[in-house]
Amino acid sequence: MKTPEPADPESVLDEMLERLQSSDATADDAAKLEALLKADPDLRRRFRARMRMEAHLFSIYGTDQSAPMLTSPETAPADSPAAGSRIIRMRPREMVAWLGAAACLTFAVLMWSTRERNVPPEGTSFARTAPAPVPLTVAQQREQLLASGGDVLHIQFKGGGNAVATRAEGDIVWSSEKQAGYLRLYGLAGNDPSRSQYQLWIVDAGLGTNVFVNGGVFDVKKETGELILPIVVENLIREPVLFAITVERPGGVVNPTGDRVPLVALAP
Amino acid sequence: MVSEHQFLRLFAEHKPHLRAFAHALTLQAGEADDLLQDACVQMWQKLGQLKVEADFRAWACSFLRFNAMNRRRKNSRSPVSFSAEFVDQLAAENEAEADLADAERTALQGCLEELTPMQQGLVRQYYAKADVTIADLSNELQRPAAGLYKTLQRVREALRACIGARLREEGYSHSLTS
Repeated sequence: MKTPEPADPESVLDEMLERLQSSDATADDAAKLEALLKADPDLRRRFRARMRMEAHLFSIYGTDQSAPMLTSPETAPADSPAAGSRIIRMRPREMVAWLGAAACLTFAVLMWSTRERNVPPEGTSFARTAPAPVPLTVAQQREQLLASGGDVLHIQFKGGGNAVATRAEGDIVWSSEKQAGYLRLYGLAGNDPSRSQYQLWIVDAGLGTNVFVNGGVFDVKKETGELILPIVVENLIREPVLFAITVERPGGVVNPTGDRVPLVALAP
Repeated sequence: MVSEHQFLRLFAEHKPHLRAFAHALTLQAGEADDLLQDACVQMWQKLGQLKVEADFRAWACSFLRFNAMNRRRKNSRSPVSFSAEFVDQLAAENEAEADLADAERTALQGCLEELTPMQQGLVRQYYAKADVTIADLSNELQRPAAGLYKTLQRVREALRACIGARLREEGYSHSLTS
């Protein structure tokens, strides 16, 4: 009688990892994989290599973390399922659809400036949004960028447990092709511009080395409401890996001090 | 003492390795992103603990390990996670292989160009978002899930073989992807 061929280890991993990725994965599934990995050093080696390859692929192709999306009572359509709740989970396409209808914003007053005035390399240029017959609000411009596809990143901020950001949430929409992006925040504490300002940082890995880019300073006058800011950078951003907001002295600083880090967003 | 500037540079530099480790700990790509982001914020806040740059990777992995265990404790319903003991074993083995991550990424980028346009498109769609499953892809593309599953399996196999070959050419004695 012919002995059945042992299963290909890569197929075993594929099957188990796909199962674990599904919403109905159970503790038994994880325990089964752990038992197999513990018993087989070669399978464990393959598993680690597989995890690295997956991480690289997400890093190369990932554009949207699909994390819980942020909305606010001010912008949620009254008849939408989101009405009355501040955080909802939506697919990007659904979000674009309803956001397209919502243009009203509660704005914190901002002062957006950059401290570093680095001249971009010769031959580089910054794409600008073409003037529209009817001026779009910042929210509409953000939605337009989000819906434009291509290399557009959409990533969520995570709070740092800092007192100024206990209720803060937000996201970044960024396109390196267009060199344009928007920062959306909700619930960040108001600041006194004579004492401190918020500053946005972008870490760019596009030149093989990680470069800090000052994304500008801004103020928040109200704790509530949605704040949407266009990101204005004068350095070319090629491959952003991380966005962070810190609290710095008025006017901003050349390098982040990091004493107070309200929010961080990691690109895939 | 490591400055904030150095920290963010180190974090970006080691991110692929850290993300791979986070994925191994959580077994779910979306969870891995959350874990990594939480750990990044915590590391930045506790930067005073890190004395020299050389210790960064091990230090960062300890945050991931601790956070993964913490999540497991807090959310006992979280079904997909390894035991604490096994996580420690993985962490140690992962650390020993960390230097390969950069070389593998460079090789992978070259290998992706060798795929057919159809294969490239499929990989792009599957890895565009952390929580996409074969079933999602099947719905979106209106193609049978089993076929997509097989195709992705073949693509991964081709990428593994290609990365292994490229690393061997570069003199890596034991490619982990072979």
